[in-house]
Amino acid sequence: MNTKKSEISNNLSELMDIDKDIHEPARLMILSYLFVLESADFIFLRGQTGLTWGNLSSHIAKLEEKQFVEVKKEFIRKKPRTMVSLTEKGKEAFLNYREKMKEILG
Amino acid sequence: MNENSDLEKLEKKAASSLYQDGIFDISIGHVLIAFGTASWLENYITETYSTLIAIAIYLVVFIPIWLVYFYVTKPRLGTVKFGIKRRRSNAIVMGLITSVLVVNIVVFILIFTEVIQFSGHEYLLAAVFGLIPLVIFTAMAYFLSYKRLYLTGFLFSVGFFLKEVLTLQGLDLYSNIVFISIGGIIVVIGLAYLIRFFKKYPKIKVNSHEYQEIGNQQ
Repeated sequence: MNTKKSEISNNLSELMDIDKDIHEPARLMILSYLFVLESADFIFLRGQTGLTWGNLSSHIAKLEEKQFVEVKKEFIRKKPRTMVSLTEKGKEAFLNYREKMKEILG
Repeated sequence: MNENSDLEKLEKKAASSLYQDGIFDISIGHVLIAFGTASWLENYITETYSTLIAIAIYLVVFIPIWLVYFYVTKPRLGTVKFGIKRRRSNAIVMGLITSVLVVNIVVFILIFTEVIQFSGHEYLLAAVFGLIPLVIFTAMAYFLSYKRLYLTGFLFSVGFFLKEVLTLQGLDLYSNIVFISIGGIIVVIGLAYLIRFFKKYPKIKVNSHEYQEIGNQQ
């Protein structure tokens, strides 16, 4: 009984180590998409996640600040396109987050 | 259960979202309508004219619908680059379609030159005709995560088979009606998806400063 209690308490204390920048649902959703795709533009990510422009911009800015994603502006037939992709650091952080959550949730 | 299955599902969802505008369904369904009409017109005009009319009927829909794709639906869907696995799947589909088409052309030439004779086995030939689109569309549906194509493949298959069987029975008019009706069903499905797409993806109203903000951060 005591062992089980201490196990639960250990698991819960691991919650404190969770990367809060990834744990936020909108950012987690963006990262999940970018993990399975090579890159996507803002329009595609907006369509997939259902976030508003403002929300998407601010979350991607936050992820870019943490160097989890790379934002590249390119011109295709004179039209600007902003492509977002996951960095190696972002991939690693996402995989760590997944592992940690699996451990906590059993 | 594979622990990565949730991510695989997400990737498939992203891939299938590219086909939710119904454009491909409309253009492929219209192939049956155009050829059914051409085949029906052969009763009244020469084969050359009926073929030209079929091409004209097809282009009347094909050109506007692909303009809609390039200028309306594609910009609303956005741009995405898939990973190696997806690109490999797309290459497999292209390879498979090319192989099936090459085999078809070779078989057609062999039948035309009477190297292969199907006399007495016409219904078998009808069944083979029916299987060709089923194989192509099933492969496309599987590798492209484009589930609707299973239904399209089935409908095409039924259409090809019935057209051959009814033609063999001398019921040319009915065989053309079958072709046109099945094409119509596929077009209607595509149109329903297109309407749903317009509702789901209205014209992008992007607050310019929000979009600019991201671009300027580099």
